[in-house]
Amino acid sequence: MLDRRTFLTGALSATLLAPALARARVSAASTVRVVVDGGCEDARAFARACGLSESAHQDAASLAATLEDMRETACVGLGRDSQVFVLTRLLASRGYRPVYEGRHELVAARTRHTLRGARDAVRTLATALADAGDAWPRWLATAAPRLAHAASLEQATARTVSGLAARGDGPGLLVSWCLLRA
Amino acid sequence: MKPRDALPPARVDAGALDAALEEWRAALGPQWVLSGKASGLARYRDDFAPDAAQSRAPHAALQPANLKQVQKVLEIARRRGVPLWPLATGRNLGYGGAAARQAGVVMLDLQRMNRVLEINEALGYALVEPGVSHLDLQRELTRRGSALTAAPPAAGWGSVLGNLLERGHGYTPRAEQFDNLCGLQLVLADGTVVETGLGARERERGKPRAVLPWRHGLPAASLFGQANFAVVTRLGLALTPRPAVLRAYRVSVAAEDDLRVLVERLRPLLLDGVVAPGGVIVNLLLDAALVTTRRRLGGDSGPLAAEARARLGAELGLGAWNYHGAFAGTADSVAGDAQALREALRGLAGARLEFEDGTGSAPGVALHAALARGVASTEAHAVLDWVGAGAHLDVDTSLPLRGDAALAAFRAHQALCDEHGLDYLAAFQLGPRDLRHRHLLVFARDDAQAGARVAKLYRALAAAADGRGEGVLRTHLDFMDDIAAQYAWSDQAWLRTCESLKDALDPGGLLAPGKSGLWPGRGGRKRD
Ligand SMILES: Cc1cc2nc3c(=O)[nH]c(=O)nc-3n(C[C@H](O)[C@H](O)[C@H](O)COP(=O)(O)OP(=O)(O)OC[C@H]3O[C@@H](n4cnc5c(N)ncnc54)[C@H](O)[C@@H]3O)c2cc1C
Repeated sequence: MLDRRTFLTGALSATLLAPALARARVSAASTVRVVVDGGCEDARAFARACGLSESAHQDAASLAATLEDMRETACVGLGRDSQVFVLTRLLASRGYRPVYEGRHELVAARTRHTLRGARDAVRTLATALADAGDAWPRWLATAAPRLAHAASLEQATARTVSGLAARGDGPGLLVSWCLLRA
Repeated sequence: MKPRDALPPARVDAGALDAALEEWRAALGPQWVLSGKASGLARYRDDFAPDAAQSRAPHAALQPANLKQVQKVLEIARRRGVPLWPLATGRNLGYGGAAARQAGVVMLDLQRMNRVLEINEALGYALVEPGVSHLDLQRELTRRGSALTAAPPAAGWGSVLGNLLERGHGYTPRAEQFDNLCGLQLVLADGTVVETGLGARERERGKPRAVLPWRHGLPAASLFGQANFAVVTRLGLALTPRPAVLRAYRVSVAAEDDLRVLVERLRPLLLDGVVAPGGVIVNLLLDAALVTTRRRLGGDSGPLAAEARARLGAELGLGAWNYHGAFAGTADSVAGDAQALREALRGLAGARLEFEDGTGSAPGVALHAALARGVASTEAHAVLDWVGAGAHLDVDTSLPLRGDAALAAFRAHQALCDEHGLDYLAAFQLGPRDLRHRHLLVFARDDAQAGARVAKLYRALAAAADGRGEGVLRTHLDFMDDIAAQYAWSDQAWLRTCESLKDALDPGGLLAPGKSGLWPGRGGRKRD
């Protein structure tokens, strides 16, 4: 039984995250901080797809210290709503602002995705997630750097549903995000 | 307790406000005066507002960097007649967040004053500015290799000063934050800088040894808790050395009604000093909410039925009530205390005593062990996931340290929760002679109807608690007038005393109008 919130986190080279960096504001030379809830399989799948080691554990106190010292250009991740609530506010005081947020909700044994961010990026992602089944966290991770793209572009909301049942150990609502340093 | 009409915005002359903003820009630098849509002013809101219709939007926010700038801000506010609402870090979630009581005031955000001014290892205290969070203080203590700890609240990202002024609580034996107060530096509305502790001595010249909260004369510091008499610019905080041995434990009892006997068994140990204040008796759902959510448990979204709660308890290894405590001292004293507890629990059917051993256990055990060690984190926010994107409104009351009082409070709250369609998530914290009943009304923060339901429930709970003779200790902005009115004995003598103090110390009514139900002008300008 997991009785502490643990996180998987690491600073990864942006090139590791996905190939489609040319259009992204995150340059290949920069690093991206990935933060993932260590307590549920969907989030861990996201972490693996980002190339994050399963041993990169931190508890909530040391994660807060990591965020205090954060230098990376962007922060992406997948976790519980409460974690994202705290993290976005802690990082806002350090000059990071949200450019993308996705809500992934368990509804009638399917995952309903509501994505908000740069129009093209969220539409592409929504299409990918519709066919992703329970592999949706992997698709999300692949798209992560693109979500950081052009915060100033027109914002849009896209909704879609993944066909297969979500894994049983999640909270029922996961939130993905991308924050960019202003 | 009836719902009140929405509070109108503070009356501020538009010309005077513009002129004040100009002067503040010149005094602080334009980037530290936020006004207008794109300025970041949106941060000054209550993210957990139960009543979405009540506007609290401020006109502007000021971010001074030091004492001199605070004095200058006040001087301009005084001349221009603009009310201010001071904030430390603005994370007072559950009680109003970063919002003011009324729309139309100017926020005085002290986050930039974020220095740990001193940590005195030998005498065990820290001097901190308002913007220092418990996480910051912990980092600084770690950086210095200090053997000292504070008593952080479960939400460790809030300020040391704001949490203490609000009469917040931690989980170590020094849980009552106000007991750790060792002097305040204040700026009164007229700009006077006051030291409440030893720093007032001419020889200390405002640079106190923060070893006492008081001195000769009026023990003034406690007047500034949950109040609006001054802007606090520095705090002396007692820190305690980490004990040689700390052994965290949990006592769980199987049945909900066992709360009564659990309290009765713990009380003598508390009075004897075997059990330290600061431990908490947490109900099943509050501990469970650390690891699971209402949605995962299936069914509709109404309150979980008694049988489902019992199943959940069995699955997670939780009792109906779970007392999280810790013994601290030497190996011998801890072993002796543990033995005394075992004896006290003897014959209590369904009671289990379990020591934390770091290998993983029922939900809440490791978290409470960390809190008892004084570790600051933001982990406890997990309970808000119970309802998806959650918020909470807290009902905090004090009742006698008696089993029957606890049971009556629990039953009344559970019944009202059932009636209003909400799960009961709560804890009783052991004070030296009383119990603090902390009931978290957890609701979906993007659902206005859920907020309204919770506000209604809050009113019912507060009225019923009043009827049982319990006192509310701390409340959300929305209910401050109502709760102040509960302390109305002797023709509102206490409120009138506070109003006299307010009018003497802040005759222009500049500071935090309406805080804790205290309005300027002897209540005459109340809510206008
Ligand atoms: C999940 C969760 C768990 C929580 N657990 C706990 C807990 O265990 N214990 C607990 O006590 N609280 C708890 N809280 C409540 C809250 O987080 C804290 O009390 C928080 O520390 C207060 O926020 P702050 O320090 O940012 O205060 P602020 O919001 O900065 O200030 C609060 C109020 O104090 C006054 N004030 C602040 N600074 C000044 C100043 N310099 N001069 C004059 N007046 C001032 C103002 O009226 C202000 O509105 C919890 C909240 C959540 C969400």
